[in-house]
Amino acid sequence: MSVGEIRVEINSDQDIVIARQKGRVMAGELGFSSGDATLIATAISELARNIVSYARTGQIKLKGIHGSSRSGILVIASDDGPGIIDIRQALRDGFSTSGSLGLGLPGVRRLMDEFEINSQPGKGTMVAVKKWRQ
Amino acid sequence: MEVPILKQGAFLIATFQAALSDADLNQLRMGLVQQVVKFRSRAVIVDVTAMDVMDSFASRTLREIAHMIRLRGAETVIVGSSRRLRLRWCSSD
Repeated sequence: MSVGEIRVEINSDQDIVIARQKGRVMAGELGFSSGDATLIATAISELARNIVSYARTGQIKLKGIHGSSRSGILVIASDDGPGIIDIRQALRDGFSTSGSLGLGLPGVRRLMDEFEINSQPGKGTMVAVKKWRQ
Repeated sequence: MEVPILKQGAFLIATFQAALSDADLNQLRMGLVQQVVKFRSRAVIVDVTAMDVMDSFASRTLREIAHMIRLRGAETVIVGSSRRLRLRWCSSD
């Protein structure tokens, strides 16, 4: 079964729902359990919401991936927003610049297997996460 | 999509459907608080069984709903959550 790449433009809170629903469907097609598909959808929801909250527009890319002996899903959330000044602080539970409880990124890291972030003030943000099928 | 709020005597029942947007959740929070005041409800039952994803925003909104409702003299009962979700709620902040 081959699963292609899906891009979802994120411009509003409705797009958060669209992105996570497409993620859930793709996870199912890739053979993830319903529980894992829910975790993936939750991570997508958090990443998409960060885009809306901080950058206002951005993009979520979803892709099936293959390792040497396993398959999984890659989610890339990217935006041209203000960027993160202190990434280490943003990855700490309980930290937030927007008055929320700041659980977004640390939560995403816990939900997925691999987590990578690139962000610089004024240069936007890119978060790439992977989950592998068990 | 608006969440319907049903009144059963002294109780209000709100049933989450799948795929609630942030705007829907905010609208629900205002609606529940207004109706608790209007009907002097004793408790609000929030059924989250059908919710597709419970992310940090949804969790936070539920907590705010419960807090605001308690300030108006009523309790909130959340039903339909999975064990995994309850563990996540208890372990975060």
